Amino acid sequence: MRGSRDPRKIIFIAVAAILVWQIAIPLAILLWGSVSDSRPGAGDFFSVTSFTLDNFARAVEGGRTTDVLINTTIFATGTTALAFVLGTYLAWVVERTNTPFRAFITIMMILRLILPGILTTISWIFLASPRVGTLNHWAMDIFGLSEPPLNIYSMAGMIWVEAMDILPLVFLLMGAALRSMDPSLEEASLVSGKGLLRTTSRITLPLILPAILATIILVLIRGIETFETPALIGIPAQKFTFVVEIWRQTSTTPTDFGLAAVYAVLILAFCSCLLWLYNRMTRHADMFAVISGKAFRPRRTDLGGMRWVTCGASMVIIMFSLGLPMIILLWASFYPPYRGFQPITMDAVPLLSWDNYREVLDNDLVQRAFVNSTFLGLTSATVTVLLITVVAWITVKTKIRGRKWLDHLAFAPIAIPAITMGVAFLWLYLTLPIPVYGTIWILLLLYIARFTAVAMRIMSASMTQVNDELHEAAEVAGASWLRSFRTVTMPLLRPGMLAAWIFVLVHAYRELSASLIVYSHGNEPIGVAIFDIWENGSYGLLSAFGILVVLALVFFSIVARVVSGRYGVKDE
Amino acid sequence: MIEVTSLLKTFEGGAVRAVDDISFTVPAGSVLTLLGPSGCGKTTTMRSIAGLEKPDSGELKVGEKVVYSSRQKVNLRPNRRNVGMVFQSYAIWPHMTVFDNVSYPLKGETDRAALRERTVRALRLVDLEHLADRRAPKLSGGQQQRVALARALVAEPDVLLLDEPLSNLDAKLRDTMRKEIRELQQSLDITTLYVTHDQSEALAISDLVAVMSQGQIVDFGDPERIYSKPRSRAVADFIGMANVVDVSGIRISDGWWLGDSGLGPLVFQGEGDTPHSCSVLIRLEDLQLVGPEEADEANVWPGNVVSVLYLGGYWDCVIDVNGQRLRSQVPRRQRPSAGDRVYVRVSARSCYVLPEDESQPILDADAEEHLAAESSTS
Repeated sequence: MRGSRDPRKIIFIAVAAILVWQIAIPLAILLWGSVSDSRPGAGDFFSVTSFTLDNFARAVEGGRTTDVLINTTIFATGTTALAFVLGTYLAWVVERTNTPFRAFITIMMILRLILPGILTTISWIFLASPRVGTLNHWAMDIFGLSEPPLNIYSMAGMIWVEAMDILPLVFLLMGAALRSMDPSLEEASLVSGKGLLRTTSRITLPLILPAILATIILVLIRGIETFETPALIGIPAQKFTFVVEIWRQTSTTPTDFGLAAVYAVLILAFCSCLLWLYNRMTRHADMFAVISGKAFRPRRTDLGGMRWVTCGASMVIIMFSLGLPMIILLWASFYPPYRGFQPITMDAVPLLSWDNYREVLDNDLVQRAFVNSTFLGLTSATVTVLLITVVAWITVKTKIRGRKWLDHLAFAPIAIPAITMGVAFLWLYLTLPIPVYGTIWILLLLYIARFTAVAMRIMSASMTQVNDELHEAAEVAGASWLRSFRTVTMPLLRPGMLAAWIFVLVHAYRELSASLIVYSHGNEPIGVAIFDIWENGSYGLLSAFGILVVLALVFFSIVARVVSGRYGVKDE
Repeated sequence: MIEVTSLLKTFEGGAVRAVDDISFTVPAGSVLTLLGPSGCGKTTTMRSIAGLEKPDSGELKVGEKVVYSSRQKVNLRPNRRNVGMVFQSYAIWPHMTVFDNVSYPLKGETDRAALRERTVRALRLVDLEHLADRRAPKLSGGQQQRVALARALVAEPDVLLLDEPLSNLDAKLRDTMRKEIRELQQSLDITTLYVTHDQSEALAISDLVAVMSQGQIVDFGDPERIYSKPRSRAVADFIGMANVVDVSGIRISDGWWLGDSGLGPLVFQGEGDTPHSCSVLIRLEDLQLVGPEEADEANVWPGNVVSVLYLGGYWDCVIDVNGQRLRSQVPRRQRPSAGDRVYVRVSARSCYVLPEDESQPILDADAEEHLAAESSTS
């Protein structure tokens, strides 16, 4: 039609092609790999004759898979239960009570969210290993025990450490749900003569139930895909999970890519079921319209004297989640490198020195990793946010056919375990003659694919809040479609884009399990470097490196806050 | 002018006919209001004209330009249609100042001084010159609405589209803005399409009113005619609250029509052949309370006051006459109260016989023809 050359169609096709290449194609190759007897990159990979169910047969025989399944299940559900209870408690304290120091609790949780999981896992080994664990030493000294009471190398230890890591995620998700609930719904119940208990059970709980279930599902997925704790604690404890098995099959000889693909496909299938449930839950949430985007002043319960008890309990949780791990990491970073690691004692204080920090700044691997991660973080954050802004715009603001499909595709990586994504990328780029394997570019592509989903979540929420009429007004005012997108939609999305950018950047610095599958010498990111140093046993060096990484991440986050405070648009 | 021909717009794959094959013309320099309840298709019609919705078929002309035609395969994008539009939410861009908002449609203007000149002129039109540098979120509702108006007018568009521009304002401001918009429109002599669900707003501001229902135009004409002689019972109900009385056994007596109604015998004015029965419309303000001394006159019936609401300018009364309930606007000084025994009178002249056939929509509402017909009869 004359005059109707709609640039939206072209943009739609372009971003759909990128997402298909980044997400659907690798998974398709992975699926084929799981039923092929060929190794990635071998000539007969695409021939139908390589079809076999042998990989699955190997997975089933010997009963090993059953053990792994049981371990993964106990680990993921235990972690979810513990993290959910503690995280929801903190969210309730901060959003719905008059407990003092609420702002402090929030800041500590955000800080905890940026800490790389590998560092806190290592911290907990320093704290509670039977041999050198500081908490064990203190307990034995104080109570005169002959045996160390805590053993981090156990299923309970794994669950504890991982729950502490997932806690802030629960806190944020549940906090948002509690905050965005219209308080007049509860007030209406109170005015109808129902007490606080009845109101909570009949009104509050049913209203946030979809949010609760959605949170539980997201946390379960995290529990299944997490690598740090199962690798660092689970392997010595002989508790193997799927993620660790996948890593072992691809990186320790004899490698078995077929079996790794089978495991990767198995956890993918399980997480996809969870994602399907999640989509149902959140659709439900829309129906309830509890999350209205409108700013309410939440109804706070006056706890009276009890508020000091809730405050104290919160501080204890923060101490375990953030305080102790940071203290022990600091301690280890100052402990002299040639003496290994020793628990915190007064006797050892005179030995402390800056030696580790001096060594870190001279270390090739550390320098390289820092440069690599900074490149990967900045680039993947920028590319992902720009790409996803366009995708979110299509899915939220246009009526192009196929937009739902695009939405699902962009959100799918939330259910793709990082390591599955890593294995899929490995298969893809070993198979296709595109020379990115062995370079940093495969990591970049992987990061962009992996962070698509979280960026999508932030951007579509932020897009929904921009009234359609603002964009339409620009078009009617004579602006071309591109100009109205650039001058109206983009600036209004800036706070959301900045939030997504920071989120991706921070998570790129934390990334480990996917990188571990596809990295090669020379392009190690920070997570891989820390893992490497850990395996070499240079604990002091590692701790000093960790402290510097934490400082850098905190610095980025503060800069981001300041910048978004200055340029953020407050829409009334 | 705006010319809409056989406009069809469906949703959900044709299941919902939001705009059902309508045609009308807005003559140059006049205001036409699309009036109807929510969901009647009035906003969809306006958005189709602006290019924000793509119709299924039909033809749209803005000024002398065909902006959409399914037959000629033309569908101009909104930025090529040269229309000014005020949105229901005002759509003031919160990240820009008032000046930036208003000057936005002028970005083709390369001469900085001219751009400034024209923007300031538009701001002056709506009395907002002094707020040019203020950030948009810091404006009150009335000011936002003026900014929206200035922005819609600044590029001197062929037509002005107003989508429920007053619905977000409080009652007092609504009255003021209504007057201002009308004055502005008349001084600029700009062709205007106005969408609202508020009858009094439509009557006050328009040269022509098109009443819409379920995607069709069910009445079309100047406000006075629409109000006093609505084309159907549904239109009468929607335009303003009215009593509708069913009359049967109609005969002619002394040049008047006389029939039996639930109230008693009713004398009224009719035209043409007498039907056997019909419905008669009596406006609330045409129903008066009179003293018992007039009890024996024609069109006076006794009744009981059922309920009374004091509305400032008058009392809104419900009166039971022979089991039929009538509503009336009673002057302030009369002070009726519930339970009173009263007499109501209606003048034969103010009764209006509703047309028999009320279901047929108006397929082609040609304003020129319509106005010509109106002026020749009066």
